Amino acid sequence: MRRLAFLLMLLALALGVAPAAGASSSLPPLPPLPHSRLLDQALPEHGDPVRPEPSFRSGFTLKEGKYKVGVSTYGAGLLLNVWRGGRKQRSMSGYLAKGVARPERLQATFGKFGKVSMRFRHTRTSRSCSFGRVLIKQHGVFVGSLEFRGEGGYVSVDLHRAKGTILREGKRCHVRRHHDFDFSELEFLFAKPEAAMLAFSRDGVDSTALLAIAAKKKSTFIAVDEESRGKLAIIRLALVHKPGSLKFDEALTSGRLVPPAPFHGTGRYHAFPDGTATWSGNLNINFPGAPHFPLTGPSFEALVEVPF
Amino acid sequence: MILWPGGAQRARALVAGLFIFTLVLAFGAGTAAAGVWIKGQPARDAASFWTASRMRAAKPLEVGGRAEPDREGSGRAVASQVGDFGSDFVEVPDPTAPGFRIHGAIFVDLGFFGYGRCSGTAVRSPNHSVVFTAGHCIHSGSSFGRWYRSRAAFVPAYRYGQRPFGLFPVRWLDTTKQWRRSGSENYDVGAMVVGPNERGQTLTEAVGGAEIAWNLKPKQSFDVHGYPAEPPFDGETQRLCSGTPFLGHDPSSFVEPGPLNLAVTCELNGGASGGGWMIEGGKTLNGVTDYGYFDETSPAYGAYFGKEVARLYGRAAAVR
Repeated sequence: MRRLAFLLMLLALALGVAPAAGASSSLPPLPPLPHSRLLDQALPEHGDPVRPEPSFRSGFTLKEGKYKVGVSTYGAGLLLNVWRGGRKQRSMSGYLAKGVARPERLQATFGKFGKVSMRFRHTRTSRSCSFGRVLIKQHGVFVGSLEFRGEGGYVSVDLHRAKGTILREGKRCHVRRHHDFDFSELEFLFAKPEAAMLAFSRDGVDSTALLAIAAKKKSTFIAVDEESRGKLAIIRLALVHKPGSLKFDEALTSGRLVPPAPFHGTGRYHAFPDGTATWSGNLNINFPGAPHFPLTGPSFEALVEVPF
Repeated sequence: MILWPGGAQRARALVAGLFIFTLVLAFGAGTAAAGVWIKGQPARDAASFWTASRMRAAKPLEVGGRAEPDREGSGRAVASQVGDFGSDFVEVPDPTAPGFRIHGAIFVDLGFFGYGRCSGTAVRSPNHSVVFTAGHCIHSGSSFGRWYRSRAAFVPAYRYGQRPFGLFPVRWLDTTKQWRRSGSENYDVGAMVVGPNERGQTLTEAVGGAEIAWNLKPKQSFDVHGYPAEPPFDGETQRLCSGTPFLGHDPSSFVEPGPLNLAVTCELNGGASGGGWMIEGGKTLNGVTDYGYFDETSPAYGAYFGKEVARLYGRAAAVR
């Protein structure tokens, strides 16, 4: 079970529900962007947690139709993140590009999808203590231009002004109150899983992973897709923490996965006596801008784990 | 009670302090700006230390704990069989042949932790003694990292414990400034300057050297060399992925500082780190292997050779 616990911990970090341990950063969680290296490293049981540096975060969020759109620094990159849903069920597509990712300056081109070029105008500063560090929050307005049109026009943004913040870490502080942290996010870490499954597929630098952790009350289903398109990386994530079904027979030779929406369909696992196995079915997921994204097929490698 | 020195004592303390400050400054500047010197390692001593059994016992130096997955275990099953891993990383029949002899294995003594190994490539330079490899083969990365310098040596055309061109003890080593400061994998490149071998030959006198190129377009076709040492490989033979094209960039590369790294299709593992990525028919070095992921279909990733690599080459080539 150590492997599973580790997997869960890394996923918690990846999903931004807990501060990255290796980041020595007390800044509030990043946008829910996964770094699928975490999924990769979950298997060998060791590796370094993601530590996007430097330790500031700058950006803004706005609402556009049924989606939320966030633009922020992410490590040395600039992330345009589009998501819908809440904490228990969300799906998102993140567009990550190199550019200027400084606190007061956000500038990048997201290929054919658009570009951002904005400067920060500071209005006021507030300070609080979070996770043992003073959190300096500069409030203000980002001014410039943001043009973005997602795949097939599922979301379209054209703006010149947006309220935003710059977060920086200060010195240590001793107030141990964490107003902005919802510990219920971690409940699935402590729920006793009945079964877990990881399906993984890679095509060159692109990869897709599906993780299902079945527990009695609520199960967790996570799908991550990572694509590299020239000077742009697209990272998609869906997370559902609701009742769903992941069942295997006692011999672990066959299994069936039926997660709730935004997943659709069924995934079927079948292992053969010669050691080979298949992961098939019509299971798919609706990511923003990528509907009916397939999560089964011959390219997938599936790993099944059940507690003894 | 605090006793403050006065008169002659104060003067002596001041002189001593200044002397120590100068030493610290000189040493600090030397390590930060111009690499690390390794002194007192004649080739014969190094050759007698690096016996065949010690070289075979050396374990790959890895980035951040990336390692081969544990494929054993109970309570789980792995689906989907992948083709024979490493089948595209073919054995070089004669590593002493021209074009192959410039590639070799790097060995380092890790003390309590045993011996480490990587791959490297001899590069032409005015001092005839430069080897390029991955940054993590020289320094563990970031400002808290450590240098791997104890008994470091380069063995070109290494094969089954043999040293057809002798062993070249490392005299000086360095990485890109960003690798040793931030550990960003987009800068995971290192260089070393080696001393003469047991016969007194310089490196490029003995084996020749590759040209080196930087600031090229990423879209190249690479010959990837290296000495992978984890199963199914054994680290005893030089391997080659021939004419493997640029695939793209690792999405994680977008988060790290520095130019986006490069991916190529080549099934390799630990020990191949630092192996040369050659272009122009194997004549020119334009990349080194840095890492791959656990899954068998993972590409190999290497840092882009940009201006920081040019600066590193300049520092290494200037070593006398």
